[in-house]
Amino acid sequence: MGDDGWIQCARRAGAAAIEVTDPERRIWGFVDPEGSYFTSIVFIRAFGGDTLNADGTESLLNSEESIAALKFQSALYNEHKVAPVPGTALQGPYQLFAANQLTMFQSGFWGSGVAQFVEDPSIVGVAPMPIGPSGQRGSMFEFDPLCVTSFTENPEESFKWVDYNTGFDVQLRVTKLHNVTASRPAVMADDVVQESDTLRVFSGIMADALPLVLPANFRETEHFKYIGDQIQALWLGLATVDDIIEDLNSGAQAILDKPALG
Amino acid sequence: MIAPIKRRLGLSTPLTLSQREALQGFIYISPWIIGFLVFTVGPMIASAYLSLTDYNIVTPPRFAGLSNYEYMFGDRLFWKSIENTLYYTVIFVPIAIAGSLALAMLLNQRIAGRVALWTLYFLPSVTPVVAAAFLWLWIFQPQIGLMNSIISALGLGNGPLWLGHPGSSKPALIIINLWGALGGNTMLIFLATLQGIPKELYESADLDGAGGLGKFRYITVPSISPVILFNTVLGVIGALQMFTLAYVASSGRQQQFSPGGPLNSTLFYVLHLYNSAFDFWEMGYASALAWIFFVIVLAITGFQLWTSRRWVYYEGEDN
Repeated sequence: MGDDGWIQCARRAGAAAIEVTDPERRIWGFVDPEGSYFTSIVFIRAFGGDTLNADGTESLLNSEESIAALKFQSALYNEHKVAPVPGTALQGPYQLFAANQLTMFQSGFWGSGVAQFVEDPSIVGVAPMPIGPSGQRGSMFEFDPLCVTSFTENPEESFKWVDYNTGFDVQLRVTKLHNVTASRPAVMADDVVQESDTLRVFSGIMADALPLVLPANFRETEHFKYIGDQIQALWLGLATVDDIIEDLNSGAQAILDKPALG
Repeated sequence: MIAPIKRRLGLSTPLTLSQREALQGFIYISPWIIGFLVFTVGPMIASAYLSLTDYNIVTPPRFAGLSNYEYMFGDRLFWKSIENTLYYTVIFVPIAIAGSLALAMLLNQRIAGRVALWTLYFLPSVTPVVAAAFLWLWIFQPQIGLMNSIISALGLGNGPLWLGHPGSSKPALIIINLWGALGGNTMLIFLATLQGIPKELYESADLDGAGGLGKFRYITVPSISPVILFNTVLGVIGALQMFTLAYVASSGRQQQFSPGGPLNSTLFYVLHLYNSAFDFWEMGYASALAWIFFVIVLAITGFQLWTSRRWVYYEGEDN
């Protein structure tokens, strides 16, 4: 499990096989501690849908693909019960993993830090997200940019500073020093980076990853928090996808239709 | 102190005693007046203006007339927050007032170690809200929390998800706040008032053959009715301002959710105001929410004071 060809259903089956139903010591096959927008977008993209169109002006949550993805994700908690309902797990994935109560969790590269919490770090491995019905992996690629404000009194020096920090040499140094991913493909392809098992997997993931699209009106916080809150009804089993999807989509669209911030 | 001020003002005629006293009084209270003008009146005027603008902090405010107020009445979160706040207030305040009074009456009995009991009951109210919230988050933890362990041990099933479910989140917050409120300031004020009721009234009632309930209804309640009103007014205002506990209890899921979940079930009015201002950067709308909140609190408090004429007894009044 976890090789290049693994698919969403195989992951679910794997999680179900791993799970041990012991009232004294529950071991979960999978955990999504938050059930947030950022978890769901990965499922939705694996199913060929998306949350937003390319220019961030239209909500696509009610597409057939998005609906299918949300149903699949909801069934993990309510039908197959391979994962605790988001927000109700005793601890976060790191603690559950370290306590041998969890076998798999969804995360960005930072999740590989769980190795610090287990006795034998060699038991921790990373794998790309499984392939969905669309034939592609769900993904969400974002890097926090370095920005220079127009109010700066020293624009040339500021841009030099940004240029220095984002250059190949500094990126490589940061990547090696902190064992983190870099946004430059050339850095990720560097021999030194490829020596790391974890970063080698992530260099492949990042080569194919889909960009995170944000609302064109800069209301991303309101947008992702609104969706994250509303889909809790699915994870809690209070509503079905069909019950809420049109309201969810129109509510998200209403946020996208607001005037731009800034 | 006065002489230098007179010189500065160019006053040659001597001040009268009352003028001197008035001037001294103003000088003494000037730090408070300046603070009130700068930190209360100033922001209020500013927020009144901002409530009529589109303002997102990043760019200068743009005049928008009454559009924020119009938007508010079509905002489903506004109505949801009103519903949540009224639910909390209507359930929490009567239980807190009645419970505090009952506790005060119990602790007013002449029993050994009652001062120690006062201290014990008062302790939860001095626990910081954030600390209490984290303590109760563990107690209400659905899988291994104390509450559900007790429910399970009693054979009542698995217990609810408490703060993780919209059906049980508000009751959970009410329980947490009652823990701190029942033995707190409200109880102390009742206790002090109960101790001030003349014993002769009870002795006369005993001679007339009054029972415990009769004495409570016809002596205790009328005697402490101004304090019941005081505690109720403050309790309702405090409940309408519910924020810190709900914020802490519903913010434990990193930054992916706005405080007030799940499913906006703990989105109280002030929390909605906070989210609008500091999460969604709609400072103009948040200012409008603040002014409507001011009107709501004023109206409810006015209503309470109006009804008090029918049930509050002030010693020395003709009626």
